[in-house]
Order: sequence, then structure tokens, then C-alpha cells
Amino acid sequence: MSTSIIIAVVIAAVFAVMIVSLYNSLINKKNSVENAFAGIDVQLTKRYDLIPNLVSTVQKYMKHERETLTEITAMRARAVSGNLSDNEKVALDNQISTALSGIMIAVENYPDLKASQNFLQLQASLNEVEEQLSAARRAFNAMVTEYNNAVQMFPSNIMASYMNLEERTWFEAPEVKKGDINVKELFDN
Amino acid sequence: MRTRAEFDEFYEQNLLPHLKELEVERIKCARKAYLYLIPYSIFCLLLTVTLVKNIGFALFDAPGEICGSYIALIFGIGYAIYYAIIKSYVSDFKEYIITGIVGFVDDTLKYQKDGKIKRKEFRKCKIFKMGVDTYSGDDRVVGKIGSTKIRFSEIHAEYTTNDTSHTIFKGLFFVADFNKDFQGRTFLLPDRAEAALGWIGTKLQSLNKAHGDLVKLEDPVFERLFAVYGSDQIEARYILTPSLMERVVNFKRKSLGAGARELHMSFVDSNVYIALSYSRNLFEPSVFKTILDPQDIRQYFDDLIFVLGIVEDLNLNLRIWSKMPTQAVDDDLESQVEGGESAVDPLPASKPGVLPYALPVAPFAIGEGVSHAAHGSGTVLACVMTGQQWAVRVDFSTGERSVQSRFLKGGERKAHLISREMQVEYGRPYWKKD
Repeated sequence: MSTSIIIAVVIAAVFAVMIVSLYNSLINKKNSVENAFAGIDVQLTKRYDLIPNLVSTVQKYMKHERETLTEITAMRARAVSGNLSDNEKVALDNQISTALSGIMIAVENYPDLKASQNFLQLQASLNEVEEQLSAARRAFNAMVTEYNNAVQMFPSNIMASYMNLEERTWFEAPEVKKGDINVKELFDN
Repeated sequence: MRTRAEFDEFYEQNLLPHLKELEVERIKCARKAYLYLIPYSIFCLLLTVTLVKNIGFALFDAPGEICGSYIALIFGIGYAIYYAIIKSYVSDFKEYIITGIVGFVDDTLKYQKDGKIKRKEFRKCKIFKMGVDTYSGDDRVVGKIGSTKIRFSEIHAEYTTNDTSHTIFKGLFFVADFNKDFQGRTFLLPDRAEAALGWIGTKLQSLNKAHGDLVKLEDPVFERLFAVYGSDQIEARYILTPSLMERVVNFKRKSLGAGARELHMSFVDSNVYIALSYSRNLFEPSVFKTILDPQDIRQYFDDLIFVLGIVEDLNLNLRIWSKMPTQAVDDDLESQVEGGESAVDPLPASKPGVLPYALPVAPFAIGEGVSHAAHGSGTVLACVMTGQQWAVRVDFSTGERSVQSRFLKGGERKAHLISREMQVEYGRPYWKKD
């Protein structure tokens, strides 16, 4: 066989291997992102499960927070009902986070509640879930970064546009949380 | 934590008298060492020269093993002589000075000059993947700081290939129970590739699967210092929060200042393992230099404070998550260390539906004398029903042990299996499905 045919075959083979590996790595990254989002979902479910417990423990003591408590229960019911798109889930989760942190701060006004053993264990569980949730969010962001890198950088961006893969957005802090906390306002409640 | 000023006072009042006595001993040892070792070295030199003269330089052309073992023999004997001379001096020094300093800093800490962290535990941390051939260590401290159980010792681990030994790790090995519970393993290893090669380095690191998957974290300073590997991406981030990452970076800087060359960390089994490589020995007395220099003695204090400070530096006493601070008796501390008191086995936990206290139908009465084939005789402290058998806590002459009732011979032996009637009345064993 003439050398030029051999060279052509080798080049074609190398090219094919490159295409396959690009395709596979993009699929891999896309699945990592989905997996990480599922991880967040798991933690969110754990948190939703803790909310009824929290409400029942706290409502005996916190007479003034009744509104917030009913709000949280309603939000939780909506979250658990299912049929939410990813973005809706995220938005709802942010609202629940804000409400929960509000309650936790308000607990400072109730020394009986703070000393109750039930509440202390509940607080530890909530802290645990928050910590895991924040770890899951960070993992998701890391996966999204890698995925977006692959989708935007050369040469995988060619493959990505061919596969119709789009960028994904990171998990961002909700607008309310980003603003500075007005402590005086919180204690006035 | 004790301050330097307090230590200086302690040094003046408590250490100096002992040090003066030990200085006398040290001078004797140093003189003895010169007396024995200088002639010995001269002898070895003459021996080598005669051998070379007779056999010629063939001695050095001989296969590596002969030459190597000859040199090893010379140095081995020399070291053995030196060790024999200074042994009692070192022992006395550690007994009075180091024990004193440890007790001064925190009198709940237990110091054992010959103790070391178990080899099993060193392997358990899985930082160093090589099999350990020679394992030695000393100066073990065990105790609790705040809510955190700690234990550490100096360790020297080596592996041998073809008569030469290579050091795996030499320095301080520190173990503490971490403030969070986790299932998998996470490793912090020094990051050389990324610092040197940048983006390509990271690519190479991700291919190294020996410790698990590469975990890329957000803190850039941290990332430059460490390469993180873990069995689970989310769990690695659960452990390494941004605040902990910052603390680890600060601790690394602090350790460089204290003389540690490298820092390896791993998180396994809800414990944190820290391996600080030192080129010097930490708690050894000097033989050829005076020990009456307060600066040198203060170095022991500084080293100790540095190690104990790890708990504060990594904020391990912050226990706000589901792993609550342990209130239980520190029985299991003993079982983790070598050369400690006899292991105290905890009583098996009682299961729901099963009564935990001794009933009249228990096989032995409390206070009854019983005998065991291996442990000898003792008195019964408690009986606990576990499943189908009774676990009996007996105070033997060798210590307390928890044994099954069928291995004990006592006075009146009642039924030691839980009969059907008792099951009906007191509830079925927990594993039996209805």
C-alpha cells in the first residue's frame, strides 16, 4: 500500500478517536451536573422533612412568630407536592432558607426554647442539613463550571454545539440574602 | 493554653532543679560516648584499611550486599553502643522534664515516653499507600481538649527494598475525632503539580486515582497548597467548608514556621489524621549540648503548644452538627493505643423490647463469684440480656471484662439461654421477625 493511504487512514483513525472521546467527556460532564443536582434534591427533601418537626417544637413557645410558621408550612407543602420545574424548586428553596434563618434568629428571644433539649437536637439536625445542602450546592457549582468550560472551550465547543448542549447556570444566593442583614429590623419583629 | 510567661515561671521553679541533676548525668554520658566511640571509629578505620590492603580494592568491587552490609554492620554496632550509653539518661529526662511539661500544660493529658500510635491506625488513615516494613515511634500523648479526643506521637515508618530502607514518614502523627460524621474518605495531599505546571498539573492529578477522585475546591490559596482527593464529591465539600479551608491554610503556614516540612491530612471514619513531617526529633534531649539553656527547653513547650493548638486552629470544638460531643466515658480511648491499660469492653447496647437490667432469672446474681477458663475468677457486676444470650460484666483480677454467660462457671447456674416463656413475657429478640 502506498504511504499516503496509510497516513490518511491513521489520520482518520486519530480523528475518529478524538471525536468519540470529546462526545463521551461531554456526556460525562452533563451527567455529573444532573447527578449533583439530584444530590441537592436529596438534601432539600431532608430539610422538608425536618420542617414539620421544627414547627411543632417551636410554636408552643413562639407566640409572635405564628405568621412565619404558617408561611413555612405552606411553602413546604408546595415543595413536597412535586411537579416543580428546576428553577421553581430553586426559587422556593431560597424562600424557605430565608424564612428558616428568620426563625432561627428569632429564637434568641425565647430562652426557654433555647434550653429545651428537643430544640437543641433539632437545631443540630437543621445545621447538619444546611451544611450538607451547602456542600451539595458547591458540588453542583463545581460540576457546572466544568461542564460550562467544556461547552465553551475549543475544541469541545464545536462538538457541544453539534450536540445542542447549552450552558447551565450556577446556584446563586437569593437576592434577599445577599443584601446586608439589618439586625435592628430583625429584632424589632 | 498556658502562656510563655507561665512556662518561664514553671521552668524556674519545677524544671531547673531536675535539669541541674540531669545535666550532671548528661555530661557523664557525653564523656562515656567520646570514650567509647572515638576508639571504636579509629578501630573501624584501621579495620577497613587493613582489609583494603589485603584484599585490595576488590572490597569495593564486591557485590553491593557485602559492601553494604559491612558498612551497615559498622554503623549498626556504633549506634548500638551509643544507644546503650544514653538510654537511661534519655529515659530520666523524659520521665522528669517532658512529663512535667505535659502535665503543666494540661494535667488531664497522659504522656507515655515509649507509647506510639498503633500501626493499624497509621495504616487506617491511608495517606501513605506503601506497605510499612519498619514502624517505630515514641512520646505518645492521649487526652481530650474541650470536646475533642486527641492522640498523637512521633512516628518513623519505613519500607525496605533490597537491604536499603526508605522513609515513608518521619515526624508527628496526630489523630483527633472530627466534629462532623461522615462515611467515606477525603485526603489533603501536598500539591506540587499544580504549583509547578498549572492547568496541565491539575489534569495529571485528576488521572491519579490512588486516593480517589480529584475534588476541585473554590479557595485558590488552598488549591495551590493542597490537592484534594475523595471518595465522594459532596462529602468532601461537607468536610472542607470555606472556613475550614482557610483554617487549614493558616495552619499550614504555622506548621512551616514550627519546622514541619510537609503536611498530609486525611479524613477517615469521622476522624481527622494529620501527618506533619519533621526532620528533627521533637521530644529528645540533647546529649552533646548543655540542657541548661532555657531556650532549648522552651522549644519543647512551644512544640507541645503547637500540636495541642491544632484543635483550636481547626475549630474542632465547634460541635453544632449532628455529631454531638461525646459524654461517654473514655473507654474506647484505651483500646486505640498500644501498651496502655487492659481494654475495657463496653457492655453491648440493649435493644428495644429487651430489658437491660439484671432480673431474678439472670444466670448470676450481682456480686456472685464466677470463674472463667481464660480470665480466672472474678465477681459479677451486671448481667444484660442481648438477643438469645446473657452478656455478663465480670470484675476479674486482670480487669473488667464482658463475657457470655455460658463461658462462666458460678454458684447456682440458672438458665443462660432465654427460654420461650421469657421471650413471650419480655419480648422477642430484636432480630426475629414475627
